[in-house]
Amino acid sequence: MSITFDSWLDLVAAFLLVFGTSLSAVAGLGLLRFPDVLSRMHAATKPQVLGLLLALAGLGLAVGSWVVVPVLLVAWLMQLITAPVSAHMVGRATYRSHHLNPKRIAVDDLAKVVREQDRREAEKDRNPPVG
Amino acid sequence: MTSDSEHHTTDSENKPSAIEDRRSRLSQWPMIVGLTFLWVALWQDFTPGTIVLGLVFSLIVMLSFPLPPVPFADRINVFHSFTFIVYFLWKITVATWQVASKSISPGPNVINSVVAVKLRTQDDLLMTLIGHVYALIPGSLVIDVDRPSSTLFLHVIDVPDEQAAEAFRVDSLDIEARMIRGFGSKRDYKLVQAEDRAKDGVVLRHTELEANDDPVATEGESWTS
Repeated sequence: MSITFDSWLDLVAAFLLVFGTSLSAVAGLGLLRFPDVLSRMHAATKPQVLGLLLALAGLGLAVGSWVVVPVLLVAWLMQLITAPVSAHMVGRATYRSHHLNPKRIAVDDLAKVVREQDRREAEKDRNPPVG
Repeated sequence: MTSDSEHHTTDSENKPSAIEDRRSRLSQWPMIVGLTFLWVALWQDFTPGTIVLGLVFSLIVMLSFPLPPVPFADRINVFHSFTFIVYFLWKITVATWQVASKSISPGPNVINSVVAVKLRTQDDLLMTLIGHVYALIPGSLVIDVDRPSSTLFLHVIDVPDEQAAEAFRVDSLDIEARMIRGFGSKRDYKLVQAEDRAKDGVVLRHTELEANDDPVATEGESWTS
């Protein structure tokens, strides 16, 4: 049995597929392991950005045709567009509803901004603008 | 009309929001290119017939479902854009490794921070893209945005003190500079060029460069999101 170029290609594709999917598995593991909601969002939305890229690259190599490359690219770009949006929505809701463990937060630049905003709103409620 | 002129409006109350902004439909041509690409990619067929049909359908979609017009950048540098994409992939790889090893290693061992990063740009589209890039690089997550001062609030994993937070700020502003070099507006690019000339690592602001004619994004703006 001789090792041809095609079998090398298959080998690389197999490696990429396994590595990519195991990154997604690590993402799932992180989801269980991390201590609070926001760190979990990192694990839930991030490692599989690279994981999906590698898996799709492996798929492209395995199929071995240039025609599928744009579809795979579109699939990856869709992930790039949607993952941050969902992470942002959950993250913002978490922060605003105070589901934050202060022990796990060292620097918080947003706290004083939110406090200032709350103060202004309270002030506006006390003295409604005349006219 | 370029994105420049709207930012120079002296009265911030009159600054058109994306929805009120009446840009010509023609300025949205990158949308048609994108939709046509999607069409051709899904058909997996690159013959001229499919491309023309894709163009026709994209035009119909654009005209029958108009979205608020987006100010696309007035310049693009292919070399810098390509460097940025390579840098982005590298950054994703490194950060994925960090987050993955954190999630495997035993014990709850992460101290996080919420870091404010004040961006240079005031473009809606570029700000969105930058927010996406920060969010895609594992370890940071946009949790809030202050539009008037173009500040992003990011939840960053494994930042135990103010020093690390400052290092993160420097790093993210470097990513922004790379993006502006690649596909930022001429106005933002001037700012980055001035920084590159100075070579002292100080981040410049539009308010400093155009102290006389730009009251937008100064202190005392309302902090809303």
